[in-house]
Amino acid sequence: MSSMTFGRYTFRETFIHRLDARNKIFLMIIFMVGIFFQFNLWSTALLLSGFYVILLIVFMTIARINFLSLFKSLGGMWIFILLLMAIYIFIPNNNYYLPTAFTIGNVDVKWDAICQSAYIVMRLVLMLALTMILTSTTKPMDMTYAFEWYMRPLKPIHFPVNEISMTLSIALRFIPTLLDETDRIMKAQASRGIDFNHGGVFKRFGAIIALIIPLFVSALERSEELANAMIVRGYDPKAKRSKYRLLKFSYRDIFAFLLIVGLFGLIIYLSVIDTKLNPLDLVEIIFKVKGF
Amino acid sequence: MRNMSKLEIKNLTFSYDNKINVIDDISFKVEKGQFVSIIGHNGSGKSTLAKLIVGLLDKNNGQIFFDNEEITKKNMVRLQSKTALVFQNPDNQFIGATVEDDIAFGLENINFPHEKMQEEIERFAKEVGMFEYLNKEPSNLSGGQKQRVAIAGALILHPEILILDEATSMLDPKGKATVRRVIDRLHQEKKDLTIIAITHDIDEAMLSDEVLVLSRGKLIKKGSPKIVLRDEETLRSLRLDMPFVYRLEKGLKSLGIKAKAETVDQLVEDIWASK
Amino acid sequence: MGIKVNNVSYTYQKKASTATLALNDVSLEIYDNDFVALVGETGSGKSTLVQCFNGLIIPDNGEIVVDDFIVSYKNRKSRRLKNLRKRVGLVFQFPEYQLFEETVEKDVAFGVKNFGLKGEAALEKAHQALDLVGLDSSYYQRPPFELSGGEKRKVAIAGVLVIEPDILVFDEPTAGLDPESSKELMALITKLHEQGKTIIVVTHDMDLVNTYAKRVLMLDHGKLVFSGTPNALFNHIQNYDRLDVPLLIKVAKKLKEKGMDLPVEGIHTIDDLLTYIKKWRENHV
Repeated sequence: MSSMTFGRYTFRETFIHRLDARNKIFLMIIFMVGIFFQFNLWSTALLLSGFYVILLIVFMTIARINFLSLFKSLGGMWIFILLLMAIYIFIPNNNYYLPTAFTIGNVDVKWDAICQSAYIVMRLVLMLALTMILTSTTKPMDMTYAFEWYMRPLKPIHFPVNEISMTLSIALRFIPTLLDETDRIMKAQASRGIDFNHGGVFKRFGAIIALIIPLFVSALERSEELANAMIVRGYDPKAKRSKYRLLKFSYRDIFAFLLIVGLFGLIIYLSVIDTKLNPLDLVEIIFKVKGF
Repeated sequence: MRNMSKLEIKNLTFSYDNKINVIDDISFKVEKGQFVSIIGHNGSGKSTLAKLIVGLLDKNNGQIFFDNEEITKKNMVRLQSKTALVFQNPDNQFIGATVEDDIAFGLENINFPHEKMQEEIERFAKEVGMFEYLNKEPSNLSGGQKQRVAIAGALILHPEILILDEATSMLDPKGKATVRRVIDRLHQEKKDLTIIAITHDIDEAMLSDEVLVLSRGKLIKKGSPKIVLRDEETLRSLRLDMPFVYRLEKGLKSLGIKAKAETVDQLVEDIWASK
Repeated sequence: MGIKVNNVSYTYQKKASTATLALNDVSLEIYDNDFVALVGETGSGKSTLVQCFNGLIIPDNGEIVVDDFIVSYKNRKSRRLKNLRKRVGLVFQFPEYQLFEETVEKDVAFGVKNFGLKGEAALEKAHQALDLVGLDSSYYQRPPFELSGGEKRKVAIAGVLVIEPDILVFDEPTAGLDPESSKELMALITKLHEQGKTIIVVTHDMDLVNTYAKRVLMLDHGKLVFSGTPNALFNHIQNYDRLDVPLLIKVAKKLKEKGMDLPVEGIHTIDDLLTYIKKWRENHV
């Protein structure tokens, strides 16, 4: 259970760690949109992708994230990715007129297909890396506070922002506790003869029931005790409450904001002039990539 | 002049199902600054009494007074905010993501100004010996540590009456000792704080100024632990044992050795002196 | 049935930076029909060790021999491990959390059902186990969640007893219980011991150790640091001021220091102490 280390928050004091969570969420979204921009020229697209990759490597280095863990976390996804590429490359789709890269057997592998699939894979990996950067550098609690901040405009329409945010933070706080409890219950039931690993469908189903019901019952009891504790300590979701933790913007946030938004602006500009300008003739000629 | 008691319970009655009275016509007074322990067998109503005092449950009958003021629907919120309750399960009252967040919870609830929070939190964390653990998560804390955080979180709201509902019963011996030390120190240092400890641990009850004995919803004995806890018959009816020192004392009496001691060392002296 | 532990080591979270060596080359033996208390600070490895006894945890090194079972890294995938749990019953701390069935008897029967018994036969065994823990037939049909904490614990224990293991391990059996229920439970465990079972109790409670255990094993940071009688332990742990010596022993020791001739090893109850004090007075009159 504790081997779920993908994207888990690790305490460090890097530039990115110190950015405000609200800022990070916003910038991540902007970056992601940028990744998904469409371009007419493969040259522009691939070059930009390369640029993104470099940027991301820079970010991950700043945030002291282990590259290995990114690849590990992709895990089963690699198969999916390879499958996707294979589909793109090998399934014929009326592109016989496009330049061929090489031939395997009697199947023509087209440059176009290779570029397409590479592009898709790259975007996938970029997305994952970005998400990972966010979750590894941001405390879950801070993300809750950020969401709460973003939900504020919903308060006037009586959307239960405070309650949801409180529920979220308590849920987060209890994740390790609940994981431990799951472990304990599994061990207790295993000691009574349940086998979680072997057996047919029905047996395993019975095994899961023996795990889920106690968990639920315990969770319900917990909630009741927690609620009592909260009441006794004066909690009233409707009343005005101050906050111990406040997210604060700093000069770092302004810098990061300008950087990413500036980049985003550049991307928009490029996508607009993309059809008119062709600064990458060289690339085109060498690789005979589609374009004009 | 009317005696000013901190807490007064008069003819309190409560039932969960309208059939059996879990609290059956109980009356008693607690003076300001006293450390009172409430003992009784399982199901005697101890926890229910605690919940009635702080307002988690509504009484069926009777009166509760704080500083001679009766609690009514109008003043309930104001008066019951003078109380604080620490529960038995260390995990199920730990709300914050870290120690400091949990202690802050109470302050947030009363809309305490943000600028002053850090200082208050540090102060009360020091009080219970958890200052070095401010940024630690509950999953990395022992039961005793979590309970001390709960006490800090309760104290930070400056309650006049602190109620502990079997606060040490789920702890290991080390945890029990640290929590008891904190309570003892509080009692010595904060003369205005009234402490009510509900417990089934007879050695804990020995530390208090006064013991209240509950049985089947009724208050059957009240007095100094030195007297009440030597009352073997009453304790036996509660299926409780006398504290060790009193048991040994009784055994020595049967040998003709006069010993009237409260501690192990005193007993040893008395035994030796009987030579 | 006994347990032999041979050079067992185990590390938690081997790959993470938080890897902890929970058991460090531990060797010990538990004899047939023993009554052993396993003590040590929180984190000393007690829980890890007992989980090796029934195969929940497989040691990285070394082996655990229970009858004709060997628990070791080599055997880790063995399906026979499930049957080991028929021989070694493990009752966790606060076992009431494992209850899940609709009725008490069904929950208790669950254990034997996993080992092949069905229908009426299973229920019959369940009733016997419930009888053993002191719950009569009025409890059979009740939903476990309706019961009080102490009653739930009895049901949970019955759920392990029903499998009729030869070795019983209890992890902090009296945790959170009031004194009377504690005594009841220890009386049950004593009865099981008298019936021939091998008993292992993991505990922090030194009074319990002094009153019930015949032998004590103490772990510290994953190593075995003591094996012997309870009283020998209390002599040994003058250095360990964290574990508290029972008041009874403290009194006996202080009297001995003053010069009273007392065999501290032989004092388990107040009556024992009184007997020796009486003798001493008679000799000094």
